[in-house]
Amino acid sequence: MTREPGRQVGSSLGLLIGPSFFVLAAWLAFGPPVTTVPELSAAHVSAQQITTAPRRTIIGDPPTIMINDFERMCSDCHQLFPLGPDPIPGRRQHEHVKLEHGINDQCRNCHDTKNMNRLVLYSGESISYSEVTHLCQKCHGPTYHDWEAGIHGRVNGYWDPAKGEPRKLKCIQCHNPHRPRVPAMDPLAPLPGPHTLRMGKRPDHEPKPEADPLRRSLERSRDRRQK
Amino acid sequence: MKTYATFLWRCFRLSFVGDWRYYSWMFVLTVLILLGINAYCRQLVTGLVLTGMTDQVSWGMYIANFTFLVGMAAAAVMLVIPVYIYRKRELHDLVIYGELFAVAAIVMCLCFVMVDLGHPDRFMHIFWRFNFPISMLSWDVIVLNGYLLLNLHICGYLIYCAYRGVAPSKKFYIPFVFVAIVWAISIHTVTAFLYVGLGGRPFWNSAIIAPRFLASAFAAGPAFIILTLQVIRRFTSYKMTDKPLGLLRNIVTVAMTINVFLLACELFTEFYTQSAHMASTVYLYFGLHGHNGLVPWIWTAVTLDVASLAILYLPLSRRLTYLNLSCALMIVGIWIEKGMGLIVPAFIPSPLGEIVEYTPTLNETLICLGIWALGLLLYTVFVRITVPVLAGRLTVDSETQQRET
Amino acid sequence: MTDSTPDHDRVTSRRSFLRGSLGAAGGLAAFAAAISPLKDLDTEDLTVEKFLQKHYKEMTPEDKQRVLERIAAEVEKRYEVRPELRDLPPLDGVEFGYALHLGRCIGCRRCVHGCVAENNQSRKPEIQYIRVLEMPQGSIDVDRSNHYYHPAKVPARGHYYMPVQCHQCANPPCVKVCPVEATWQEPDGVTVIDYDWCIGCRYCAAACPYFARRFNYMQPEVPAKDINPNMNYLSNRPRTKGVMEKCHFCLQRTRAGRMPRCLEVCPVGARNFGNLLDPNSQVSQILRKKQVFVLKQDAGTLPRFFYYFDQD
Repeated sequence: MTREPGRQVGSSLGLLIGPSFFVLAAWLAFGPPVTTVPELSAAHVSAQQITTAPRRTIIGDPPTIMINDFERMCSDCHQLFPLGPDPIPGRRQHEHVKLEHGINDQCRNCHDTKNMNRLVLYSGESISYSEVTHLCQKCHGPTYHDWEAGIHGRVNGYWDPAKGEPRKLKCIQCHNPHRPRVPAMDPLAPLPGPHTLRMGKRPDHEPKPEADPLRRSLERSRDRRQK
Repeated sequence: MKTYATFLWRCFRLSFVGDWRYYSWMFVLTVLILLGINAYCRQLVTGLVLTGMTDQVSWGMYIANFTFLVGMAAAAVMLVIPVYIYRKRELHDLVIYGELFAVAAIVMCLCFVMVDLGHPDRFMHIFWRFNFPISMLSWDVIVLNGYLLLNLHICGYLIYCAYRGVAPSKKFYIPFVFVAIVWAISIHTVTAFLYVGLGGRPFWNSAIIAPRFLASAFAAGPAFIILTLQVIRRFTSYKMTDKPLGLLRNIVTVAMTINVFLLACELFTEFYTQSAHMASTVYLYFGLHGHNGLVPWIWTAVTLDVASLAILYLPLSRRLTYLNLSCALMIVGIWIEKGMGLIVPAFIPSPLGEIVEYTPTLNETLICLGIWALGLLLYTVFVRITVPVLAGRLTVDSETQQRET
Repeated sequence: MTDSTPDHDRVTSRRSFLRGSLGAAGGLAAFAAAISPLKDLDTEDLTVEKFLQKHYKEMTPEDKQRVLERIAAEVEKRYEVRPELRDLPPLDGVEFGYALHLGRCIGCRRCVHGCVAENNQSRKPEIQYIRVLEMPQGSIDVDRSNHYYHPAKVPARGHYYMPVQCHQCANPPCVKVCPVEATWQEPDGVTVIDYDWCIGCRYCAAACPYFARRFNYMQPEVPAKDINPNMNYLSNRPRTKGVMEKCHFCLQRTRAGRMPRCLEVCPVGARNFGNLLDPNSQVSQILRKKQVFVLKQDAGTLPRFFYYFDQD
């Protein structure tokens, strides 16, 4: 084996390999490059926000109201005071009730003027407050049919009647009878975003309005018509 | 048996013998491997959250590198075909280097899959309940491991026969070689079918993916072999002529032409139709809703592809410097377009239209570099052993010679 | 051949011995340092028993009993809550279906968080099975959707809201691609995951056209006080890192005849659930009476989750 000068250098350099590994070991043990897990926070959601209870508590039957610490029924006042021919817009009581029920703008369409503790159907027949669903039925027939089948409105409890009771809700447990439109709610927070470690600056989430396909298509057809 | 054990022991000892350049190279690779192991241990402890992957982009660098390397492994067969089918016997020895390269590439592929698993300790579940033949991943497991075993056998047998100084018996390797040729096509087709079969990813759900895989593999693989053969020629005593390089150059030119043509086909199909299914392609080439992370990458890849092809068409490329330049550009270009240009864009936008971009983290990058270093280390060791064996310096006779000194 | 003297030989052999041993020692030290992070590895998951645990479909009833007891003990140890962990079988003659009234959904995300509370999902990072899309009116293209809307009040004008969760497809691409059969479809139509069998390759996540599947990129964190003790093996028992999970139609509730949690917390009653094989169930009636459609019908997945718009 001829000894070349290059090999001499090599064998000395080779001595460096061991100590270099020790340096690497020390670095790996004590201070290597570490990728950290991002700070993650979950939105706090209270049990109240995800309750399965109905949204509205329903009024009693017959309904009562506290006036000056006395519990009164509707008829207590209405037996004394006669109803005018057109209570709206000139009424001076129950002003907190805002009637926004579409074309249904008369109190007496639902309330029995002869007995204000009860509600009235088309035939003039009066029903109690606990049978309120029949009242809604008189105008909202298809919705009532769907509700009877369990399709309209939430059904809690059991899907399998053999195992337990499916619990339907009454109309007014979701809909305020004077303002039946479901009010807007505050949404629960979205996820903070995908948890990556290097997302960088993220552009706006909102898609731009010009990306709206319906608007684009309407504009195109309008341009075509104008030509 | 004893000869075989001695052979392995001598190979092991030989891999520690070399000059200062060999030691520097192996030292650098070992450092990278150790860094990769360290990063992977962290990933085992904390989870894949240390990568840049998310629910939206659930496959990233690991699978990108896996895809690229499966192609490289398949390309080893490009040396095999001319030797055995066209009977260019003078290239016979080269086949071994190609197949050793395939072995190293497949080992890298298997490593990349293992590091990508969320529960690598459960990988043997594949044996207990194997969703074959429905799941393409099950096919992939079979073909990749089969290819590894095939090539290990062929190379091992040929090298061991050369070590023992006996002529290899044809029936122990010729049939395997022919199987390996077909098998090589299958490994990359099956890997392509992993992606193609997913209807929920319109970017992948296209028949052109599998042919493009093969074309780009047969361009990048032989390009890599062109470069490594010259490295072998420069640093070892194995001196080959330029003839095999010329042959590989022809293969690369044809494959790259097909690759670029198929790219043009893809671009036309996506951009002419202008359907919603092209969202991923728009993201890749032009950016989508302000997100344009991959745009510079893909245009670089396309430029490199076209430039390398242009160089190959010029008679200039007969000179080794320009051929090497073209090969280098090609490998980088194809790596980008198979990794960032194929795997990641299919996840952007997500199936529900959300755009989440992907950037690999440092941990992920260290693991990828570590596995690449492992593959290169394996290949270096293989070459370190094969050259003396084939040259007749490391044989069973020299073993007794050594004992007598 | 050599020009070395015996002294030179001793020097060079001493040097090469030094080089070799120093190199080997250094290499071993560096390797030990490289694998040192493993000291923090949570070995709870790496017991022999778990290694030998069979696939759910191959477990005998005794195996299942043992496994359920073991998991219940682990949950009790970790969260100090004794769970009621069962393995409810699918009901005969039942195929679950879900219908969602898009005209009624206001995008309040109560369903999302009700699900998180019911199914013991990780809070850090928060894993949500349901993703509510805010869509502009006039488009069904999900590319136009906004997942991160947060106005003061919903519904916002000019938009409608579409919650998406696992559709329990009748032709599920996720089941096709799983290499180890860790996910499959049960006879009642629900696609389930055996969390102890999943290897975490995430192929199913790539295959799903509805972004329904979630992966545990890190160890899930559930506060002990938020644990739901009513658990089922294939549905809401606590998971570990490295496995997939997804909506399973609240099997712990629905296989006992109850409604899923997302439906029960919806304040506007937009959701409906039931047995598709029962012609009188709510869901069957909706399929008959309303104009339902499914998402991405061209993907051929045959979802069991139906959307519809209606007057009310």
